[in-house]
Amino acid sequence: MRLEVEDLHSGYGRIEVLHGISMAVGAGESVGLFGPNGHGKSTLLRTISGLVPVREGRVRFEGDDITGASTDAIVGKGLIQVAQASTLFPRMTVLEALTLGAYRNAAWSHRRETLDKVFAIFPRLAERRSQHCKTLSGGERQMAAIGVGLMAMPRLLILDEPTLGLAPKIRQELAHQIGLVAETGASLVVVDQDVDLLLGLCPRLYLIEKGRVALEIKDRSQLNHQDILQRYFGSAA
Amino acid sequence: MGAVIVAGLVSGSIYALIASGLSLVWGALGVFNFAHGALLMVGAFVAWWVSDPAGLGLGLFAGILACMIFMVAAGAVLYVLLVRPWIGTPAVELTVIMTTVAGAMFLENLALLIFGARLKALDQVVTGTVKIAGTAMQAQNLLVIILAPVLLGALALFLKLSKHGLAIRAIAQNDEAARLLGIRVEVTYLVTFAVSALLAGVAGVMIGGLFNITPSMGNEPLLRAFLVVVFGGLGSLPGTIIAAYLIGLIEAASSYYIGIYWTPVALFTVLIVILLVRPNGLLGRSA
Repeated sequence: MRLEVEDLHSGYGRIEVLHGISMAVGAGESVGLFGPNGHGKSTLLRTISGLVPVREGRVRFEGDDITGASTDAIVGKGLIQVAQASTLFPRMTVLEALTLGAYRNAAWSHRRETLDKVFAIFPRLAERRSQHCKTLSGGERQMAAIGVGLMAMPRLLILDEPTLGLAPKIRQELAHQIGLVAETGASLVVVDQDVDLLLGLCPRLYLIEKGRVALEIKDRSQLNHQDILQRYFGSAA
Repeated sequence: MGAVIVAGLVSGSIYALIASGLSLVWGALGVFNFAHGALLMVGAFVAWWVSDPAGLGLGLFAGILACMIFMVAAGAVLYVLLVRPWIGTPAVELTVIMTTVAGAMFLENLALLIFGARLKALDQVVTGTVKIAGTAMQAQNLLVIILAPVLLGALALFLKLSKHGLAIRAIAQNDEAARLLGIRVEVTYLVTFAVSALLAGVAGVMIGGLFNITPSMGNEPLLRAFLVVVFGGLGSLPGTIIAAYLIGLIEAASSYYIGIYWTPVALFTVLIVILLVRPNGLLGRSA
């Protein structure tokens, strides 16, 4: 298993957000997370990356216990999370931000080759390389954020809402590109509101609700997703 | 006219070196280092003590080299003792004002205790005068005018190309995204302080070669550097550098044409008017 999360509890101040989440991601596997806003998806990711302290439970990465490790130690092992891309590094050029993505020691010396691979997946970033990140469109900003994550040569890449607020056409393009990222051999954890998009990318999904795993969907053919949409997002969704 | 421009460029160069260090720390950590002027003074004394026959007498170049090495360490120590303990506390900006003011007083009195109050001066790196476009100037002035942009250019390259330089900018722009790339924020803060102190030390050597070295020599330049940083726009390095040269030139012109006593009045009038029109400074970003 590349990532194993066992009975994870965490939260902020006196409020516990995660009440015992267990999940696993295999080598080269893509796993999707979905569920209503405010039910702990982002907290789960932030806890895995060491930004929020673990209160109870275990996190293991490639067999190593990383519970309570610092974010830089976790990143150093190749567990890379792409933050929600709304801001990234506004006053850096795309090329500078990508270069910085290779900050971890194992990735720094390979940064030129990795950059070529990133540009092959996201040709738009090559065109925009000397533009400041703040001048990018929403879709380009997401591409830049994922590209920055790829520059770190991830063993596991976590994408938090990569298609948030994007038009359907760009969403399709991005979904295709995330598919290409999955082919690089990195395991993927993708959080998104768009269940159809997740189903297209990930063979396995977890539904996170009220700080717990409410449902694990292992076989999409057995999934009546109309039912899920109705149950968790209301009939209007 | 030529003399005014030379004087303006010399002060502008020195202000730019001092203020860019201040601005760098503000950008990355969001705190003002009130001991920055004292660091400048320490740099000048170290260079003097190592180079002057009354000290170690190893010559000017050894003095400058020793100053640069010492300043990197001094910046790191200052960060660890006076800033790091309060990072992440709610009133860190205010606390660090107090701790660094205290640090500045301590260093000033320490220098007084060790070196006494007698004025000291560094030897000049180059002596004699040169004449450019009909204006005669001390060779040392010309060296300062040339060296400052070279150092600022090196700083810009460091911030644009090196891993640690990019990390300093990343933390200033998006702390959490920077952490998610494995950037060790603590280490990066330390590097920021070391670089900032190095720039202050170089400015101290320049001032020590042109004027005098005293325990309080850093106070006036620190005040100017604050003006420069606010005038240029908080956190903007290009703004800081432009503002430094503008303020240097305004001061020189007003001392020459209006008189030295009215210069602060003229300077502050210009600053206040510009800040009324552009509240975030020349190249500052709106909050």
